[in-house]
Amino acid sequence: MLLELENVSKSFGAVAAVNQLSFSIAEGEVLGIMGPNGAGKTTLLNLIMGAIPLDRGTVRFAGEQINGLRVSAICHRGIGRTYQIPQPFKRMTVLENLLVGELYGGRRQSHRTAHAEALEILERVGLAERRDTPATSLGLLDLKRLELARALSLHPRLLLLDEIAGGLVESEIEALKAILIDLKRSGMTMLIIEHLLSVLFDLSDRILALNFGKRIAEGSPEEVIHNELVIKAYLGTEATRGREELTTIQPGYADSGQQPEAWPDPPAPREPVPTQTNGQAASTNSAPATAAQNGTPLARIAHVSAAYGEFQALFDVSLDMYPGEIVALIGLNGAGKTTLIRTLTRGLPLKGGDIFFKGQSITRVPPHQIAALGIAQCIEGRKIFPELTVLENLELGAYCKRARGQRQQTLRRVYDLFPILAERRDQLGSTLSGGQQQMLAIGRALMAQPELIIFDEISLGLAPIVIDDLYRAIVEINRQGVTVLLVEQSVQRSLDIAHRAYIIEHGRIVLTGTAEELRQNEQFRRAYFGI
Amino acid sequence: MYRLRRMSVEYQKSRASQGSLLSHLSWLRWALLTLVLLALALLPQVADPYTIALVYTMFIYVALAQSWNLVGGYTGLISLGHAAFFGLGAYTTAILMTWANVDFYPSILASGLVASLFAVIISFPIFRFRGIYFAIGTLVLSEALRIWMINWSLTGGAQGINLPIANTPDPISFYYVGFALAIIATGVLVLVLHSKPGFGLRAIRDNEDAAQNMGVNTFMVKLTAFAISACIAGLAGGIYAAYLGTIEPYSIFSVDWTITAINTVIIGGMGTLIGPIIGTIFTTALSEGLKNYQTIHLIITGVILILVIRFLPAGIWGQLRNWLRLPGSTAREARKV
Repeated sequence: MLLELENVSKSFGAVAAVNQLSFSIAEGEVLGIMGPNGAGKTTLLNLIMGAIPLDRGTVRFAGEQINGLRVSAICHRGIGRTYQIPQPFKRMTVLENLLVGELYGGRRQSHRTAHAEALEILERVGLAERRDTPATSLGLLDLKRLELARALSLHPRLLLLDEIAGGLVESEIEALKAILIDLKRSGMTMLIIEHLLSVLFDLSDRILALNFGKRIAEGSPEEVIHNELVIKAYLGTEATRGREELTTIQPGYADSGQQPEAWPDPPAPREPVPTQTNGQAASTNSAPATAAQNGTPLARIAHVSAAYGEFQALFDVSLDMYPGEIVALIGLNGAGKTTLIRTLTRGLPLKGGDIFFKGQSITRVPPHQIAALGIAQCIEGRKIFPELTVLENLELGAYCKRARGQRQQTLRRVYDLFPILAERRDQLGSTLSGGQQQMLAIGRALMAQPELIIFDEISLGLAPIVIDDLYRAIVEINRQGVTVLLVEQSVQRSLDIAHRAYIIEHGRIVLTGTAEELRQNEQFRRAYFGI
Repeated sequence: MYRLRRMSVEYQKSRASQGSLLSHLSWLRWALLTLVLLALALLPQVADPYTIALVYTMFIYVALAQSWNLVGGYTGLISLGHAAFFGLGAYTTAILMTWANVDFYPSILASGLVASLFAVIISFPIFRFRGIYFAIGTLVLSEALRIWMINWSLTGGAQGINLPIANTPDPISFYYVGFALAIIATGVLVLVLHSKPGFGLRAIRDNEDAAQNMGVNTFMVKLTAFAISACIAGLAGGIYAAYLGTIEPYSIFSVDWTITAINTVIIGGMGTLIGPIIGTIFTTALSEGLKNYQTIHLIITGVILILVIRFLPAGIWGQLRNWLRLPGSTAREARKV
């Protein structure tokens, strides 16, 4: 056994994060760990790495007890770890980031070999071209690649991967998976924490499901996905989806000797498909009646171009949102989704074009007045106020004049939507679980009584069952008459609830249509589902 | 074709290789460097005593600034306690030369060692703090040392110590000693940064937890940087004390030394090798230009500092490097996505 945990326990105050947990990983094996937010998964990695001391139990690596050693010493034994939220050495170049691992990874070697090996790893993960770029200017996909590359620069015997695919869209995930499968084939032992079932199932030999720091199931992917406890605590509707995926996966895919695809470039911009003219694109979903697109758009982004310095991020982008619609914005990381949202909410200076809200140009409205107009935003990473109570967080959401008067009614609406927030109203924001924090962030955005609400990657890092709840809430919010702009990493999920969607690539809108039309579109399916 | 491609690969390799000094500095830089060093070495032959004294002072400031730069600029440890190392160095030399009749050169070497030792001892408690707490911790330590020295009769209390004039070298020798110190301080930084510890230091600066995770024994690396930095500051203090001929605790342990070092580094460019030198030239030129206007001198320095932080966040050299797209600039290839 390469790694053995025996009766490991860790509590934070009264909360047992990891409770009497024992498991082991054999050399060359890949163990997947799944479980809801707050199940103790990341704590487990921190315990193995020695980043936090454990209360009881032992951790053995290659027969040697390693708990109690300092982090760097554990790293020298041969364990490499990636962070869920990338933690690059920002002011160092990509190559220098790897050199740290090469030089300090516990193996004596010259700068020359360190250099050669680092370049080889960069080649392997597809970062070779960016090796002289400071890490601070990398996009999310490249940061995730860097996390993996940096762990590999330690030449570890065991790799601990913490949600390496989180925040990526399907085709990016496929590319990342190819690298991991390649690693697995070369005999690397791995422990994978992941919310994305396709990654977890394709890679893991064995899966361990945790809840409240305890094992609730263990076994092959097939066994775990049919386990009632796991479905109830974690999978939700994703269980059925996961089963479908499982049946499409060839048994032994990972060992079949199939060449993994190289990390593909993002799809080249295609000829734009003629945009649907207003009024024609009647939605096939159970759209509220107000979604009929014959009126004037609530918000209209018209021929917008924007740039950061010399780098142009948006080229002549147009996008309409009609009252009562759910509009999805889909694109790879770095395609310009966040930039597009910033033009709406942050007053990012435009190079060209105009933005209208309720028929008025808001291009020159300063950011702090945007909220007062009726546009709210719910951003990735939640950004709640950790030192304020749930109630105070919500009340701050109703800060602007238009919302202040009806604060009590809105509050009731939010509590109806998320009863758990009412239950925990006097608790500090920081004590909520990841899913509850996201609910609080949504609730806070609603407190401003917006007419348009923007959800930016709200499901990032959340368990499938929690995402189910959030999506039900979004549909409910929309039914109450709020227009929704949805930016989401999971194309499947966003198409499930959106009326229409826009596909953005390299700063250009390349495709638009109803959710149903897009699902039928051959090119789209290939680019985003990898089917 | 093949050869061309091969050459371009070699070129890229050599350009990317930060490990070797020669590839880092092109021949033009070497020529420029030699010229400047030669000019400085010959300066005492032609210049008047005032200029010599002025340039000597600049050497001391460069050393002090580089010393702070190593921990503040490269390791991310914002030390507010450098006056303690400087003062300890000054007192060590003063005590050795006055009471033990030790010669000048061994005395200043001892100054470096004592300051270094002090740094190592305080590392154990002080490295438990990070960020702003570390800064306050170092400030408290140096203030405590100052108050102790004021009250300690053995070291002359508030009166301080008068050094024997007979044992100290002439101003020209002091010039060369200062010159050597500035070169050593900068040279040590070059050596540290272009070897393994250079990567460890910068990794700690950018993200201490991730650095540990990558196998960097952060405590040892920080300790080493701190000890080297303190040694340089101690040497500077020893030389300064001998040059002045008299020291007293109020001015020698004054927080001004720390602030001057930090100012110089920020104005010139934090975490750059040339920055502290440019910063010293800039601040010295400023105080020389304004020396007849003592009252507004500080106001103008303050305003300039604010302007630099607002408009040149990377410092004078840092900004220049970005504009000229020299190696190490962050603007190169930097684009936001």
